[in-house]
Amino acid sequence: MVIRLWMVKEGLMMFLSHLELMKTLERCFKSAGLPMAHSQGFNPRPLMNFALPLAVGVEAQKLLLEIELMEGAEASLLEKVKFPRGLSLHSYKVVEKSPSLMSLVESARYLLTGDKEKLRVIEHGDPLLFSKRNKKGHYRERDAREFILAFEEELQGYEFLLQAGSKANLKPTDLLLALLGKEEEVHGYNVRLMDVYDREGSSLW
Amino acid sequence: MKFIELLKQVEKPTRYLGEERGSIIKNPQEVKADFLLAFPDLYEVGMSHLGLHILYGLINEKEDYLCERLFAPAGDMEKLIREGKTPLFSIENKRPMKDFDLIGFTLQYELSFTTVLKMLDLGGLALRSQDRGPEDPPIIAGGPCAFNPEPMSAFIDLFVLGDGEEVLLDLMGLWSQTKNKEIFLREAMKFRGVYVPKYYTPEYKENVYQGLRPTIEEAPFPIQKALINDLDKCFYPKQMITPFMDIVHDRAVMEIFRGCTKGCRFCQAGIIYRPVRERSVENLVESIDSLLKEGGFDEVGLSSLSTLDYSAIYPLVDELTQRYSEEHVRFSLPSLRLDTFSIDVLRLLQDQRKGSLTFAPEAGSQRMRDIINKNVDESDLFSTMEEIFKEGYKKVKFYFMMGLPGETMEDVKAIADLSKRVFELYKEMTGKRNLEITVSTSCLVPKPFTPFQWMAQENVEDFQEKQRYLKGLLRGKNFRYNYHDAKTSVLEGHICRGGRKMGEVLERAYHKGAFLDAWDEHFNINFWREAFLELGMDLDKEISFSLDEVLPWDHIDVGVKKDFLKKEWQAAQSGELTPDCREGCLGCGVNLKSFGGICYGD
Repeated sequence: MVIRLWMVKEGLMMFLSHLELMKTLERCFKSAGLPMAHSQGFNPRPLMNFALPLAVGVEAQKLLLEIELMEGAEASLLEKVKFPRGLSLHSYKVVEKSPSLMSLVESARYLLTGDKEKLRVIEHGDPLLFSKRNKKGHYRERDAREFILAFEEELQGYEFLLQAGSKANLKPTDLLLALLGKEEEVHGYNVRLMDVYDREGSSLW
Repeated sequence: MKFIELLKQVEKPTRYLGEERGSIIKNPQEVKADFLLAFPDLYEVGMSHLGLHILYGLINEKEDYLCERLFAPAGDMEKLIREGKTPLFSIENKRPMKDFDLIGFTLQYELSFTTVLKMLDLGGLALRSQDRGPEDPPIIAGGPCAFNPEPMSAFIDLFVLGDGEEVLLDLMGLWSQTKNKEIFLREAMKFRGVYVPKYYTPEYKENVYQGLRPTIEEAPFPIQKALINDLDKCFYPKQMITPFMDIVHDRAVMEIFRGCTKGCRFCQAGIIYRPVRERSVENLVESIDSLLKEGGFDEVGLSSLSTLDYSAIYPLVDELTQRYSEEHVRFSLPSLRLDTFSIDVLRLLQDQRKGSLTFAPEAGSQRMRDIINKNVDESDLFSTMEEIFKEGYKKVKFYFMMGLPGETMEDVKAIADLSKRVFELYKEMTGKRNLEITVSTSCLVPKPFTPFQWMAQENVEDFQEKQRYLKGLLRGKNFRYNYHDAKTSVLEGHICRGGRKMGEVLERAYHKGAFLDAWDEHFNINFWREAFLELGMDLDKEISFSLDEVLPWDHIDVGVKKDFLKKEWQAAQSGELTPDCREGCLGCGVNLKSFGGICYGD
C-alpha cells in the first residue's frame, strides 16, 4: 500500500540535509511501529521516495513523499508518529502505485523572505548569473532567468515559480546567490518551498 | 546573532542543532543543579560514545537535575565564536558554557587533552584551575584517561575515577546543598573515586619523584576508584539520543558487561575496569527492546571489551534473533573471538549481508602472542577461518600490534605470513582468488596500570621501518594494509605516562596551535616537539621506568595491585601464559576482600 504524505518542515528542521531527513523519518516511522515495506536484497531499506530533495537551510510548507506499507497495514497508524519539533504531518492519502513521485515534478514554488529591496533586481531584465555544476562535474556559468517561470512580489519578499525535477532544476539557494551576489547576504534570507507541480501545472497533492 | 542565521554560516549545522529524538530539554530555573557534559571532540565522534548517553540519561532522569551536552566546535564555528558572534554554547538550551553549575569532561584518549583546553578557552574560562575564580564552575573529568590524572591535573578541579553512575549523582546532590566551589571540592572527597589534585603535593628526594602527599586530612590516600558491583541495579538509558547526522557509529548500543578477564598484557581497559560485571539476559533484553522502540534504530551493537565472553551469549543471541526476526533489526558484535564458538554465534545472528568480519590476533607469531598473553594459537585461527569461508564470507579484517616487547623483523614478517596462509586456505577451499584481507597495525602504547607500564615504547623511526617492511610484504590485490600513524602513537605514549609536568607541555602545545590532535588534518607534530624542547624534554627520546621507581600514577588504586602487574611483566618476558581468571583466581587484588569487587575469586 502506497501512501502519499504532505509534511511540513520548518524552524530548526530546515537544517536537515536530504539524507538526514530521510533517516530521521525512517526512524520516526519505525519507532511508531509502522510496518514499512522494505526493498529486496542483502541490505533492505524501507521504501520511501520524495518529490523533491531539499537543500540544507530550506523550509517546506508542502514536503511530499510516498512510503510503502506492508499489505493490510493501518494507514491511520501514521497519526501516532512522533516527529521532532519542526517536522509535522499535514495530511496523508492512499494512492495507486505509480512512477516515482520525483519523476512527476516539473516545477516548484518557493517563497523567499528577507530584505525585499535587494530582491528587486528581479524586476530589471539583466541576466542573473551563477555557476552551476553540470553532469560531468564542471562548473558552468548560467543565467538563473532561464529557469524562472514566474515571480510575484509578496508582503515580505518574493515568490518564484522555478523549473524543478530531473529535467531542469534551479535550487532556490542558487537563485538567492544570483540575486544577491554575495554568499554572506544569503544567510539573512528565509527560503520556503510552497508547492510542487507536474507538467500540467497542477499540484502534486 | 539569531541562532538560525548563525547556523546558516556553518557547513554542518546538525552538529549544533540539538532537537534530536531522545534529547531532553529542561528549564534551568526549575532544577536544583545543572551539569554540562563536555566531550572534547566533534559531535559525530562524541555522540558515538556510549558513556555520554548513559550519564546524560542518568542525570536527566532525576527531576531536580539537568544535563546538557557540549562538543568541540569545528573550525567554522570556532571562527564565529572568536569573532564574538556567539559564545560556546550547549546543545540543548544554547546556554554559554560558563552558565552551568558543574562542567564534566570525558577523557577518552590523550590526544583530546588539548581540545579540553581549547573548549575552556573558548568558553571564557582560564585554563588552570588556580587561575579560575570561586564563581567559575568546578571543572570535572572522568573516563579511562583520568586513571593517570596528573597530565591534566593543573586544569581539572576534580577527577572521578572508575564507574561514574553513583558518584556523579552524589556530586550533583552535594552541589545543590553547598553551591560553593571550595566547600564542594573539599567535601566531594568523601565519595569514593574522587580525586582533587590541589589537595596533594608532589615530593622529591634529590630530584627523584617520591609520589604525591595529601596536604589536608580529608584527602584520601591512595585514591580508590569507584566501583559498581551490580549492573542490573545500575541505571541504563531507556533511549539513546538519535542524531540527525551520520555519526561514526550510527546504531543503538547495549553494554553487555563491564570488565574483562582475558588478561592481555597490553590492555589498560582489561585492568582498570576489573572485575567483570555482567548484566542478566532479562535485563539486556528489556533494555534493548526499549532502545529499539524509542529510537527507531535498525542496528544494535552488543558492546563490551570481549562480548563473546559473556557467559550467557548463546541464550542472549538466541532470544534476540527470535524476538526480532521479522523486524529488520541487525545485531552487531565489535569483533570476533578466534574460535569456532564465535562462528556458531555468528550463524545464529543470521546476518545475510556477509560483510567483513573482524578478528584481533594482535600478533603474527606465536612467540609474540605468548608475550602479550593472547591465548590464541594458529590452529584456532585456521579452524575459525575455515568455518567463515564455509559460510561464504569473502572479506576479513585482522588487527595486529607493532612494537611489542622483544619484537623482531621476523615477528613482523609473521603477520604477512599468517595473512598469506589465510589466503592460501581460501584458495584451496573455494578454488577462487577473490578474498579481501585487510591488515591493520596499531603501534603499542605502553599504558599505566598494565604489565607493560614500565617498558620503553618503540621510537617513530623503528615503527615506520616495520610499517614499510610489512607494506612491502603485503603486496597484491587481495591484501590491504592500514597502519596507525607512529607519530601520534608516540605522543600518546609520552602523555599517558606523564606526571604533572606534562601539563605544562599540553598548555604550551595548545598555545602553539595543537587542537583536535586525533584528526590528521589538525595534527602537527611540530607544536609538540617545540613544547617538549622548551621544557627540557625530548619527544624523540623513549621513556621507561624501573620496577622499584614511584610511578606518576601510584597514588591511584584501581584494585589490581602493582605486584600483580610486576609478576605479569616478568611472565611476559619469559613468554609464560596466564590463564583467564574465570578459570581460577590469580589474586590480582580487585576482589571483595581486598578492594570490594565481586568477582570469580569470591
